[in-house]
Amino acid sequence: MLRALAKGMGTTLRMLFRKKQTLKYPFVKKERAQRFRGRHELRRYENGLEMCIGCELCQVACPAAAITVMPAQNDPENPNSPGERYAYKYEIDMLRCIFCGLCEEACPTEALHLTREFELADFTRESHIYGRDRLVNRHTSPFRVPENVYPPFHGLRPMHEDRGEETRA
Amino acid sequence: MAAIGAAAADGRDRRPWWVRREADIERLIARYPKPKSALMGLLWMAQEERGYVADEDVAFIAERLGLSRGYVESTCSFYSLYHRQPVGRYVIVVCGNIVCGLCGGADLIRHLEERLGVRVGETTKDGLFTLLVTNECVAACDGAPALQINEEYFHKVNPQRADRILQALRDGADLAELSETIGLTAPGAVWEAGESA
Amino acid sequence: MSDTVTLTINGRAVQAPKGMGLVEAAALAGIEIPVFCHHRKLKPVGVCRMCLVEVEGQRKPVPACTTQVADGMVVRTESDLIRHLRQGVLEFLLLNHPLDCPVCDKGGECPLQDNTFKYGPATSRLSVPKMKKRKAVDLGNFIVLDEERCILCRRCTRFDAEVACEGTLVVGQRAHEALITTADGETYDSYFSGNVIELCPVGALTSKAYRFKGRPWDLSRVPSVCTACPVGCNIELDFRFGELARVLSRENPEVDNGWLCDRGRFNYRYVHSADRVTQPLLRRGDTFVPVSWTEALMEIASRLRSVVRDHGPEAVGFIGGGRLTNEEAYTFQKLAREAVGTPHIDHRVAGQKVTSWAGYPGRLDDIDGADVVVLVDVLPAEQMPVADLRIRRAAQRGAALLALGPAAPGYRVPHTFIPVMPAGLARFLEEAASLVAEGEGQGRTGELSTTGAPAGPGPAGVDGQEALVRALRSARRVVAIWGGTDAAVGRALERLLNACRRTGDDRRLSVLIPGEQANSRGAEAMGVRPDRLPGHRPVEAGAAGLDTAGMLQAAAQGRLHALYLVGANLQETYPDGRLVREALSRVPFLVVQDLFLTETARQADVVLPAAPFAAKSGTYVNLEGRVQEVQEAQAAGENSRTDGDIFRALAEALGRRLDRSSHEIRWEVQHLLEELTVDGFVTGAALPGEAGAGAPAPAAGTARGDGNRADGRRLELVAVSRLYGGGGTARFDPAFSAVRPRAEAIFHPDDAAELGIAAGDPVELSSGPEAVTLPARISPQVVKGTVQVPRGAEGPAVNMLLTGGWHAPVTVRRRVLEEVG
Repeated sequence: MLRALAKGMGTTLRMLFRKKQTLKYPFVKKERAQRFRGRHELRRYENGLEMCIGCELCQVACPAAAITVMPAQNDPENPNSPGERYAYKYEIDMLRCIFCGLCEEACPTEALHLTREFELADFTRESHIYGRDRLVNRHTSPFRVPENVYPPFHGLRPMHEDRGEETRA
Repeated sequence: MAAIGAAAADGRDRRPWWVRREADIERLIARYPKPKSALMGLLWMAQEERGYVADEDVAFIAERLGLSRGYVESTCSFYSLYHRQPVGRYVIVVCGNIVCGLCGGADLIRHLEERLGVRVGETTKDGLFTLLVTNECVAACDGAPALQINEEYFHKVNPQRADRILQALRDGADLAELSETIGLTAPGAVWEAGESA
Repeated sequence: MSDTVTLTINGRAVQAPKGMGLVEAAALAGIEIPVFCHHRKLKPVGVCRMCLVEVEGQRKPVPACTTQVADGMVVRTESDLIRHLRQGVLEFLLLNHPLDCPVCDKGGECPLQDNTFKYGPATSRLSVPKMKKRKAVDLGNFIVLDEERCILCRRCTRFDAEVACEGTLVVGQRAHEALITTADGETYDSYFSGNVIELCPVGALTSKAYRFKGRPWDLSRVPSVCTACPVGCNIELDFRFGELARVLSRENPEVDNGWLCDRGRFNYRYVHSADRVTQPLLRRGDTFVPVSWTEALMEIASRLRSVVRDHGPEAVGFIGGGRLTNEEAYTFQKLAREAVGTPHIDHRVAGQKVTSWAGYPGRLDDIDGADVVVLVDVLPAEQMPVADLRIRRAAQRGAALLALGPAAPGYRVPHTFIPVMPAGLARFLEEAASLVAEGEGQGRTGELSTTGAPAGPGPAGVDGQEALVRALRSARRVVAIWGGTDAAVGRALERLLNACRRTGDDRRLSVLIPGEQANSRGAEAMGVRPDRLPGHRPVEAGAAGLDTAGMLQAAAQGRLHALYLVGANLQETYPDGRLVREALSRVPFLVVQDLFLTETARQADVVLPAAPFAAKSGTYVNLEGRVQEVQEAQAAGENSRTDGDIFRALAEALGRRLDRSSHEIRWEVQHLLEELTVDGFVTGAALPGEAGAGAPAPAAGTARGDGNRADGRRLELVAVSRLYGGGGTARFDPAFSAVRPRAEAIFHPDDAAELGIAAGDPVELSSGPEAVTLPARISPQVVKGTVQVPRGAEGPAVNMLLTGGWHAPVTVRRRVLEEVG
């Protein structure tokens, strides 16, 4: 009986001098794996344009049907993305999302990126639907707009614009 | 090919060509079972009269043959020998196809641009030369790089030969004669052969 | 069995009809041959080379689309060689095709994507940059062209040349610079331009209205029937998140043959227009206040009850119903006849007198086999566009196409236009009838001269008549298409056809009348007419109510105390603007049931918000008498209700239930239609004059006042239909705001010269006290002696000058600038 007690206390005593396993979360955060998949972000090119072109491939790739994309035509004066199309509405329901990363894989422009942020708790269901305001990264990334894939959109071009009046008979 | 506005300058007959040449048009259309077939001939006639095919010519031909304007323009734009814009007295057409391109056609285009002081598609200020490049082969691959000036061919044109041709035309040489003398090379002749002079 | 051949495809014996292409024959056996340029409705050209197959005995692989089946042919579509060739063809097609599938609207339903996935190489060996061409080119009213994506299959240009017979869209330039284009200065503004979007096997031609609206896999698809015109083309409605995203064709070879007009294809955004009335509105002084349905219905019921109490049920009139389903139309007349007790009900809102014809029933496919197509005072391209494609094809095939009337139809196919003034049309046809009858036995047949240009200006002389008579004498199958606006013309046309019939029993003669609204024939069959009960049963003698003109006159004279309009913007559509204005302002109680706050609705005491066509289920009858069913595709939305629900609720508010169960009306309508059906088609009604007609309408074309202004000249005003005109749906659709017709007066050059009018000059057209000032246009297509104006156009309402018909003499005067300023 005494022996057992002593053994138990001994273990406790030994553990006191070992390195601690628990972290003082949220003051101390655990190191996450390199490929950890957390909250999504929509990245921007170095010139500030959104990389997302509103193609909806993430939406169709999502096994949890958590993504909704509504595309629209870019305003030529004030484009959101390179090319003709952008997502005017982009929503991810974080409560539905299973963080599988298929959307990231489907993205043809590598706009969608799963960050390592995981603290998504909130008080209402609505606040878990992330819109463009929370998804689009405020900071630009080092990526450059690829050449000639999505040329800048200058509005619909008239059918016959090249020949000037002076060349007509 | 008639120079631009020659008929009008004469002051003889200022009516549109299709009025003046109504009989020719009738004859041309009558040659074919369907009027549509006279399209090429009428376009050629328009170009003969004016030097190029103007918008009003397209409209007239479409109306006359019962075609849409689009159809006429489509045919006209297919053939590189029809011009939709005023051209100079000599239209220099450089073959833009691969054989001529590989044999020095690209350099030739650059050289001509420099010498004429115009870019491809433009006409010199004196109205003498228009420089064009075809999309398709001019069917003179044996003489690559080839030039076509109006209806005459010039084979194996290197920059020096091009200069000689331009100078001769500026001096008022006859185009057909020029092509006979320095334009065409004998079959089997090599680049240097035409070069000797 | 000499009509079929047996061939072997991939070792399988296939029976196919003679003359069939290999692609179709393989499809019969369930073998797919990939194609790009080939389309079974267009002539094969063999330009894309995707369909190359091996045929035994042929030295080289042959294109399957241009090869016809032959007996004993042995075909291989899946050999190593063919697989290799397909990879090569695809690699070449993709050489300059941009890889912007993620932003391309075709992505997900793109044959180039699909075929590349199935047959193509995974990679390209191209290492230099692709060719750059223009993207997002404004090709026409409804279409965006991406020149880079085009693979030059020429489906679109062939459609335009072979089916629409217009030839606007062509391939320009040559070799790698070749592109789809139009003549300089033109854009592709055909009424049928939308079809090329569906034909395009890549994303080169896309819709402006559907541009970046979604992906094909997002859409929920509901089959439906178009309600823009009486042809009743079959359509598919594609919804995304409950919003109508686009309209596609749903091929029905007997009706639309797989084509749609642009009105049917693109006029759908009004369904979600912000201008729609979404709540019942009640007039309080000069403004409307939104009220609940209960309040609105109680108000209508109490007002109607007091009118009936004070003036009897005959003081209430009901107008409209041509856009309702048969079930709703049936409920509508029940509401009028049973719940209110008035005989005054009429579906005709645009001056049409006859919507169907019992004699000489016509079918749309009669046009395909016709030798002679006669258009009598009708513009098929504007009133029945998709049926017009059949007419054009018939004319191109060699059928004689003759157009009679005051307005030229403007075809590019061979045709003869015989200008006849509206007033002389009946006489012209009667004379032709006696000529046909006389000439019988003489066997006079001859070459009919057909020209693309109108056969000379001015009223038709003997030439036109002779052309018509000569064509009719030799014809075996005649289709007459008639606008149905003048009953006298109808009787004359009947005499002409009777005369033709007498000359030979084996002749097939048919008549088609495009109704003024999509379901005019259904409304008529359901008894939405003062002189007919449901099922074309005539009302007892003397019990017939007033027709639209009669009701408007009664209202203007203060004899009608309540008017109920359903889906009818009379102010725009009725050819007597002054009468409508007087009637609507005089009538003490006006109810308008519509989608929008139209000019007519603005004068109402109560406006009831109706639901658009997509929210309805029921049946429609098209112009040939075909019954087509639609199902509910979306909820009525907001606070609107379907017309049928409104009628039932109102009847209940009036203290009468119209149906004991929800299926009762549907069952009754089905029963009625079955009774009327002969050979699968609903029969037409007898011509007016044969049955008890309504109150005699004022003779069309009579002048109002003598209008003898010394400085003007008398011309015949001819108001012509325009596909994008009209009172409702096109006006409230943002896609149509730029293409809607503008009010203008179009003159023949000679008339213009005589009046001293140049294009753009303001001209004043006047009739009696009414005058309208319009900008002038000059066109040789207009018949000399007439001034043409579009119906239902933006701008001053021209129907102020009319008196019940779509033509009237007017005084034309050029306005000097001071007067205008």
